[in-house]
Amino acid sequence: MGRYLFRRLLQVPIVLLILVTISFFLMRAAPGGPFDMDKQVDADIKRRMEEKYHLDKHPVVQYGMFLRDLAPIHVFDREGNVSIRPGFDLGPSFKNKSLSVNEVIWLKAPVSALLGIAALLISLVLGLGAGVVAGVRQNSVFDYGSMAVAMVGLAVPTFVVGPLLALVFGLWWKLLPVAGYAADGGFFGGLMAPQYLILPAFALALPFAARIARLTRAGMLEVINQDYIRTAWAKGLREHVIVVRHALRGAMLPVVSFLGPAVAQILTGSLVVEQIFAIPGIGREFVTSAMNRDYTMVMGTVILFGVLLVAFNLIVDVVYGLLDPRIRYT
Amino acid sequence: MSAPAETPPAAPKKGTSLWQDAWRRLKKNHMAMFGLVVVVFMSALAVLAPWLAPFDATYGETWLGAQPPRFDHPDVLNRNFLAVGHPPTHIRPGYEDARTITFEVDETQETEYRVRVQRRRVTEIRRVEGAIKIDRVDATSPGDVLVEVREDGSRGGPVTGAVIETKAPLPEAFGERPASFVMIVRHAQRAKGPVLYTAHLENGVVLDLTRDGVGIDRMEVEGRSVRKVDVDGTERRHTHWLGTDLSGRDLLSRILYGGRISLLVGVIATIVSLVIGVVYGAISGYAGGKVDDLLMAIVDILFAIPYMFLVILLLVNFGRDITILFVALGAVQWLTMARIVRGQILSLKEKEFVEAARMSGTGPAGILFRHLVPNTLGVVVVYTTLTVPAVILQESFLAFIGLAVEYDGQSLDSWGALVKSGMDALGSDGERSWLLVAPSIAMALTLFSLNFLGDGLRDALDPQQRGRT
Repeated sequence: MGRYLFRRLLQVPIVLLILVTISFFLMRAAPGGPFDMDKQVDADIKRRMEEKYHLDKHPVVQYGMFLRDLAPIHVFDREGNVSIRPGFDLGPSFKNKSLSVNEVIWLKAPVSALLGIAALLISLVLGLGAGVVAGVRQNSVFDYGSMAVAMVGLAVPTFVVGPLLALVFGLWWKLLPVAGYAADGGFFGGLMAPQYLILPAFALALPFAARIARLTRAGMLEVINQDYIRTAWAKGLREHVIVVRHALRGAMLPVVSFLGPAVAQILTGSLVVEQIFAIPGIGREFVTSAMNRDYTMVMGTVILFGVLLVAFNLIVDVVYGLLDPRIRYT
Repeated sequence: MSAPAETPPAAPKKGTSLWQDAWRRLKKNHMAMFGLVVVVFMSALAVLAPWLAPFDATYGETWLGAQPPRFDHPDVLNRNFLAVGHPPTHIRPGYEDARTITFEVDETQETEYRVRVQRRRVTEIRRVEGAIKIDRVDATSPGDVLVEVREDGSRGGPVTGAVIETKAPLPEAFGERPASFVMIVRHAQRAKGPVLYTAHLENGVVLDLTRDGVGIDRMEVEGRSVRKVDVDGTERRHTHWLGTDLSGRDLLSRILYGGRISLLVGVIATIVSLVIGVVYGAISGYAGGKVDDLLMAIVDILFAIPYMFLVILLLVNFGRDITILFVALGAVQWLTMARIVRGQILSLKEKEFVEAARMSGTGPAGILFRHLVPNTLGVVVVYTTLTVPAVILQESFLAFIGLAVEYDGQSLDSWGALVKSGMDALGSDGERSWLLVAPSIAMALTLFSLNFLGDGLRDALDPQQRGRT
């Protein structure tokens, strides 16, 4: 385990570096920049703007400066004197001049986090619940019904489910707001106004709920006939104890290994769900800043997404090993 | 596949090949067969779209606007113009060669009134033209509409069945208003019966024109007011089975063409991923040892990169040309293929037939691509059918966030783009739901079927894998 973990940890910086490098040069390689859009800017002003943001320098130099600012801790200042200050500096946002990229991320990431957590919880509750019942009551009406729904949930993409949910619950029945987010924003603001989150969270959760339900059901079917379950029955344990404490633990394994990619997909899914429901989260920020050529903002969001994805995959691998003692990493 | 040269003459007992066996198993799987039928059907529709589509997918008569499914209308242009002695240039293409064209037109007469409201009561109504004072504007007869014309040129919602009368309050249909104000109201009145225009054409020139039997020089009719059009005695109508979008384009045609683009992207990007993945995986598996370790470590690292972000950046910065998209999406998908093929090759290369091939002097490339790779075909086919929907999904995802593919600077509306524009056009009460629902169903059904077919093929070709999702 230790060696495996070490190797995986070693992989993290490589992955992030590749991601950062490709995104950085993809943004710079294209013709045009963040300051030649809409209205014609005076050449002199444009030059000074580019100078201020170091866009006049060679991309490789810019890349070096970017990486230096990104370092976790700065020991030297620009003149070379020792002055320790915190790093992870993503620079100013080109388009949103009053805020730095870090500030924008702090502002918007909690919104996305809330949406993602809500979606994950919904998919776990729905998926595990439906999967366990379907597995325990195999070939029942519930089994067939829930699995049929799960198939639909798997095949229909989020950006179809989202607008359809908005159409039915928002526009036709007027039960929930079609778009928008709590006025005061943020994590707790969103928590206080959950009506804005219900539709997007469900839209985001549906495919995962479906997947989890199928995995859980398959896992339950595999486990339920094994000797240790028979032993548990023979001991006279009650059904819910057997199902929840004995069977589910074994059946959960494929679900756990799915959670890594699931978190990844929830993160990418948030790009489109935030777009549909006009939620001021980090996914929407990424798309708009990519369209606006807001270099620093794009880099900030890409790095954030990259770190989260890599971290979750790592965590899932570790948890997987803890849950299943048979797995030995080498 | 690659039978040795010394195969004995056909054995008396006929064996079943892997593929016959798989086909037998697949036929038993109802969902997979359903998927196969739908996939074949959708592919046929996509390929034949130019012949099947009833209308041009990129052009619509704007006067139609968004109309619900099964809407039918006379086949005329936005503006239909004919003049005696001139060739019929402003007329539906195809009508020029006719001898007689008749238009049945609901003509409307429009009058504008200035309405003064004081302390919530109408105090004065004057015709704008001539400033003649009148007492009431009656719009209760069928087809009558009152429209407010605001100073900025915008119009208030049409009000029907209302009467504006002096000394009475303004009808409630005009909404919340200040106590005292002045507004301009346009009263559109339909003529009693339809007016009949008849044109006779000869040698490509309009010979004569009549309006209700009276000869006229020129005729100008708006598309929306035409009730019926007859060309040489046959009525010309069009039906839009799935309705039209906001600019009057036929939705069915758009879905057919959209499917063409979605499936094209899906198939070509999959082929790209297939080529890269198979070659990479085969080399890695066949080489083994350190090379294999290195190549697979690279795949592991690439696997962890969130590609969608890079694809988005690529499309934003380098244009959305369809070839870029093929490569970008194909390059994302090859990793799994490489892993699968490598695993297969690893186990296959220990088999005797490889030994035999080597003995007979086949070089490594020959062994790899003539003997080993063809034997991975089953797995490759399965994974390919599962890659196509994944790619379609990704392309639609990109189209949905506003990165619809382009070709020659023209945007190609795939299903994802149709779903997106459908969502944007729903209206405040979801009254134009068909614009979202129809493309959604087309896309969901196809993805659904492709996934089923892929799962079924996996079960059929590789029974041991069964049940692992």
